[in-house]
Amino acid sequence: MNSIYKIIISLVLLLGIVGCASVNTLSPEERKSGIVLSYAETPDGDKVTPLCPITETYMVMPEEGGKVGTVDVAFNNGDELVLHGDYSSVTVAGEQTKTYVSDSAEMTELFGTVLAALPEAPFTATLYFISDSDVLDATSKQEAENIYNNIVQRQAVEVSISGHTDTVGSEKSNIILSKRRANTVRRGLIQRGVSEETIKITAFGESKLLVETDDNTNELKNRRVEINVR
Amino acid sequence: MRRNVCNLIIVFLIVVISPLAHANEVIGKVKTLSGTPVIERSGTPIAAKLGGPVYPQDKIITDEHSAIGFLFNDDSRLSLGPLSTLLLEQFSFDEKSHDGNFGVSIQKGTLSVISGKLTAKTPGSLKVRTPAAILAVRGTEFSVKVDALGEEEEEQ
Repeated sequence: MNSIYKIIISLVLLLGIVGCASVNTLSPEERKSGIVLSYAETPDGDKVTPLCPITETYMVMPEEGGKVGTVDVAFNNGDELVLHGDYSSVTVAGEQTKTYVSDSAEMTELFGTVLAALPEAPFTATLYFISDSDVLDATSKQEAENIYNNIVQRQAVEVSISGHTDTVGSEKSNIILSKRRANTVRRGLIQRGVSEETIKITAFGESKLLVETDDNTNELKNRRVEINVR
Repeated sequence: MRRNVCNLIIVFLIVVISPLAHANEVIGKVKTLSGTPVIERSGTPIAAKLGGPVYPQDKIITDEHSAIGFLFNDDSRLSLGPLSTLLLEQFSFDEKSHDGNFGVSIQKGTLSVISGKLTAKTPGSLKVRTPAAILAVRGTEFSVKVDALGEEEEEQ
């Protein structure tokens, strides 16, 4: 009986000692600076097969508009590194970490489903109106179509519409006019199938000018509706 | 008399205690959903639904057929793939100054993050904890995969 226990215990100890390889692929310089350049090539001769399977992968996604993604990684054992730039990645297998530059194929393989579940970006748009009217000006009319079409295809969308006027007319009448402008956009959305409950309206009159002017000044930029879409 | 006391206690519970259970404000909303993700709130599992709110300390759990995406108050976006567990540890965001902190921890599965106004103001203010590391996001989009080794072996 006793010897069986001993064997079991020593096996457990052995497992504990071997565990996963505690090799760290960071070179001494990298450890010192704590920075791994994302575009540095994967060290050649990296033939040490990790004893542990990969358990974690972090990847910077490709960015649009010239932006460069950056993530600071601080491992539990004190090691640190920086992932910087499209597809720069690190894998963790036991104590072993490996940095490399991935590609779109691997990104899709590992993260295709989760990326597809990301919601669309919220946005804000401004539409302009003809003087003393709740009719959109010609340019904004076209833009409104694009905005409406974008909003109608969004899931669980929330829309806030705020109406504004220029300083022509009395403050009181401008409150009413700004509300009519907001309602123009609201109607446009409802006509295209956006649910009423998702739309909130605020009427600011001439209290929040985009361009500061004297009273009774015609200013297209102030005759506007701001639409916030989330 | 006794009934009055009971009523008072009930009123007290409803007025004082129940908001405390939800003292937290809504920090984000469900914007995409497939399958049947579950939100565990104060230990109670709730079926996630489109447009539904999330609070700090909510735990999000997806099965193999589920995925879910959130939009948070600072415009950061976050999604969870199948077989994932994520805890929304903390979220604070000042609408005016854009100061605050956002912390989540992923226990297993896949997570994608697009940082928002918090990170634009203070790089690194969005943190993702994994079993092996803490990731501080300076901007803007990245993904994490965590394999739950023990469980997979059991399942197989």
